[in-house]
Amino acid sequence: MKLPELRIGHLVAKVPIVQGGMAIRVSTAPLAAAVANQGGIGVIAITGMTVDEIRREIRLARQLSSGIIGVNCLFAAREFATLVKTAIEEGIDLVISGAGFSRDMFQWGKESGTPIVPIVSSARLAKIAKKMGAAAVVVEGKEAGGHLGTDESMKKIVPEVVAAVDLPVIAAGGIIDGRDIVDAFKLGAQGVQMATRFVASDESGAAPEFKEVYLKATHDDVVLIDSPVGLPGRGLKNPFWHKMENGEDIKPRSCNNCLKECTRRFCIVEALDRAQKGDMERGLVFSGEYVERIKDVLPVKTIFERLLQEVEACD
Amino acid sequence: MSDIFEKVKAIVIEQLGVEADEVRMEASFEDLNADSLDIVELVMALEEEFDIEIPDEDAEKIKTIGQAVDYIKQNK
Ligand SMILES: Cc1cc2nc3c(=O)[nH]c(=O)nc-3n(C[C@H](O)[C@H](O)[C@H](O)COP(=O)(O)O)c2cc1C
Repeated sequence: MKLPELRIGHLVAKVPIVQGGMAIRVSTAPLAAAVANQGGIGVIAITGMTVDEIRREIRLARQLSSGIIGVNCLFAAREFATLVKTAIEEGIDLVISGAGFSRDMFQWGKESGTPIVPIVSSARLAKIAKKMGAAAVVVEGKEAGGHLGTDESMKKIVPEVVAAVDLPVIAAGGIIDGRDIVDAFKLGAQGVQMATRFVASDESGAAPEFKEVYLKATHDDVVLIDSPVGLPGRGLKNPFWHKMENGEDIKPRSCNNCLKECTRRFCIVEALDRAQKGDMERGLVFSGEYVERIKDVLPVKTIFERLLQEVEACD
Repeated sequence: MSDIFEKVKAIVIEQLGVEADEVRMEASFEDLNADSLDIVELVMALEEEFDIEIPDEDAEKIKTIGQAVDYIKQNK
């Protein structure tokens, strides 16, 4: 099979692969730029960043690539509006939002001509998104890493969304190789979003220890975590997870109210930040369900070459 | 005021599929079993009916029928 281009508003990506945004600081400028340089869409995760950091990251990505660069922000973040507006001011190509649904962002997109792409997990939300003016939707199933909006498979939801809305549908969750991409296109998707595969790349912001954990992970290591955001999160078993399971006190010592609503069982930003920096004891390692299929850390260029070869080999 | 309440009530009944006598000023959307998507749709329907804009931040603060009615009254 030969993959078509992906059109989102006025943007045209030569390769219909979006690199999923990964907070905290797992997908920053180097990864996003490397993906954009391969003709895909690179995404900087801005949740948990300061305004200055967002400006720096976007400018750095622009230096490293002339391809398509977007940002991903979680609506659950208290500063969602400030963060997204900063990215738009910096001239970001598109905005992808997760964990909750902003209506305001569509207005900001309209005013600035920035395509807005919400992550949805049902045909119902996809219809609302269409009505609000979404340029495309990312349909994420339960196979995805990080915060989840559904317990249903991407393979079930994608055809439902394709039937419900006339918008480009980007399938996300559990896509690791070229065969998975072809399968998603057969379900009617016009693009795919992949994250777990890109964690294990040379350019990702995850510490070497984080990538090492990915390569060693088996299917039994993949678990659902009760995130303080109020959603389940998919990640890997580790000492931090055991502490949570055993009901130990992992309450935050300090809090800056970064989420609109938070159960305060533990600090999600601190836990993700520790993992990104390589603290595999006290960090929370988010991961997609099929991490076990990843056997090597590769340069993004090689990942793309392999994916496209695998796609070509499928009918 | 009562006029706004009656219109809100009609929209809530239609959107949430609840009985008329459940829709009282003090009833919260949680009491009416509205999930987060129900609330998004409800807010969109209210915006349309009353020709107002309810930003995310304001919408997040509206938890009861009474708060919705007051908000509309103040912003119409
Ligand atoms: C380490 C990690 C961090 C993530 N962080 C975010 C995030 O900040 N915002 C978001 O919308 N999705 C986030 N996700 C979800 C991904 O963007 C993506 O949609 C999903 O993981 C796709 O499934 P896959 O990992 O199986 O490819 C994260 C996923 C991982 C693995």
